[in-house]
Amino acid sequence: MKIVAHPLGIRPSGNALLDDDRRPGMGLFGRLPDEIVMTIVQELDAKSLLALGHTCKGLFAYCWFDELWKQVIYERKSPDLVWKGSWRRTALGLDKDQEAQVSAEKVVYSDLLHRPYELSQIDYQEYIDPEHRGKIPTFSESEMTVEKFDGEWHNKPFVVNLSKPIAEWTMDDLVEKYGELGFRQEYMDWKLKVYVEYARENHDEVPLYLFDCHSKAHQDLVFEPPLSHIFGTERDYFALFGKNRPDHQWLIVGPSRSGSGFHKDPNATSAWNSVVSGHKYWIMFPGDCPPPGIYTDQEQSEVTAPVSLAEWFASGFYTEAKKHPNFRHAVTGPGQVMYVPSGWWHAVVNLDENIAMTGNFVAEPELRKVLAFLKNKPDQISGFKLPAEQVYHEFVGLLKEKTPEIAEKYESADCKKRSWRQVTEAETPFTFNFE
Amino acid sequence: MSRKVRLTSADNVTYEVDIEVAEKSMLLKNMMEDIGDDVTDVPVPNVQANVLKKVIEYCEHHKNDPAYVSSDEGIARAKATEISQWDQKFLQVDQEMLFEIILTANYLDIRPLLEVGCRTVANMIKNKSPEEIRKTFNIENDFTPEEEAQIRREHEWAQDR
Repeated sequence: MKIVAHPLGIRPSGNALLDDDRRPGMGLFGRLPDEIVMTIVQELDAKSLLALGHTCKGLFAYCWFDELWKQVIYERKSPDLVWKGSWRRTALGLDKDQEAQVSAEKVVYSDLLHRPYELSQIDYQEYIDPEHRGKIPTFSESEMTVEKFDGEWHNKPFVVNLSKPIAEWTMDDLVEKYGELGFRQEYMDWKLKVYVEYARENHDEVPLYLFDCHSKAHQDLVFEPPLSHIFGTERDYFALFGKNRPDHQWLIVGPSRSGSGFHKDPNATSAWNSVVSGHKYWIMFPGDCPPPGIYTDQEQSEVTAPVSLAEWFASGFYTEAKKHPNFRHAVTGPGQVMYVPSGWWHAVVNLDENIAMTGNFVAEPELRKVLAFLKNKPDQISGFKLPAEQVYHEFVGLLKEKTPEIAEKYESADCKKRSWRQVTEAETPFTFNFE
Repeated sequence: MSRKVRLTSADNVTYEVDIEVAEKSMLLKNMMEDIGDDVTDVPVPNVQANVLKKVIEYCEHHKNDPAYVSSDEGIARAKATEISQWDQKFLQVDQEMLFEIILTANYLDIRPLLEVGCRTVANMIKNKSPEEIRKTFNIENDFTPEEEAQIRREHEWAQDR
């Protein structure tokens, strides 16, 4: 990673050992390790943060840390603020030229303050070599037939070039139409026009990401999945749940550098994801092969990713991942759709300002996995509008009622009667008993 | 009767305490577990007697508290949790001592004391002007004249004062 100068001249902790002309200040606070100073300033409201920051260079630097001001804004719960390019300026209502310019060079040496800023300046293009081994294959729309999917590709990621893009709007189109509408960005509820201002200027290590499935915009944009002969609703077994199914189609909007860290999709569903504008970089690993730097418990119910996506790239996990034989990756852009098979680990980074649509579904070839998941991991079921412990039986009942031939197929495919190959294909040994 | 251990400060003063009191420090607890059952003497280097005595007083008072659970719940963490009356009184010390207690709580890994210490410092910052904060914590104003002018201007512009 290129060396990034902090705007306040803060340097990494290690540099303190090299600079013999440093001027530590901060009075009693100068005695404390930086994480304790941070614990103290985290307790402060906006007024006190401002006042403490105005005492000296060092404390100005600590109190300038933008995550503190993000917390201030979060607590205000205001949907209609005026974004000023940073959380601090926004909280204080300051334009860029009204904010004090203070140098903490030779005063503050802190990884805690320096690293998040450095990571906010990450250029993913520096890391990514799209031609590296492990490229996820791309097909044309006519090449990816139902037979090909059901037979060979349902459990492998692939990209399809659509004959026509799922939609053709830019961020500006969206704002023009829906700027006044409220959306949820993780834990913030903002109007879209506010979010777009944020998206275009911020220095967050992990930029806020917008996922929407309930707004008026989403209703207006309701779409049939791309590649409907494969991803279409009539092939989606969770459609049997009707209104009780979890939310399953989203409009996703995010700035450059936003994205999702490694995860598996909920309820063992598969997913399609089609970029409307911008580009996404995908990294995938099969379900039984957690990516480097990602830790799970035995049941995979707890996923621990100790570092942000940016840190994952910058600190060497990406380099390690690339060497792994199971590493898969691809860049997708407008007019393309990515298929994420049930149970696969995946991480996504937006390489530029990005709008995409995504949907989760259950295709027949993955039905065994989904049934096994619902039966064996009820504590990991999420999003259904019925109690988790009822989901499996409800699903089995619906299958028997609506698609008896499929129910029959899986009922007779009882664990003991199945061939070894079938058993190992399922993630967990699975017996299907209708009670 | 409870087992006793002897804690010895950097300046060689020894305090005899119940083992439960010493075990409020995760550092000492792990150390004693590593050494084994027959440990009776534990050195506490880096900590001066006057500070160690204060910290022991805190641990004595809190020895029957339930095991520590982190209150840190990310962004939604509640601010300014109440500080109990006893703790408030206990931390009514001069600023030098307060910061020494915080450093020692950090070194000995006594999370509840560290938290309550940090919160006390935060409360001492609240509702003060920069000049009052400087006086309280012995902070030298090291802004350049240009910075000083910008700080003043920023303070005037800021909507949340």
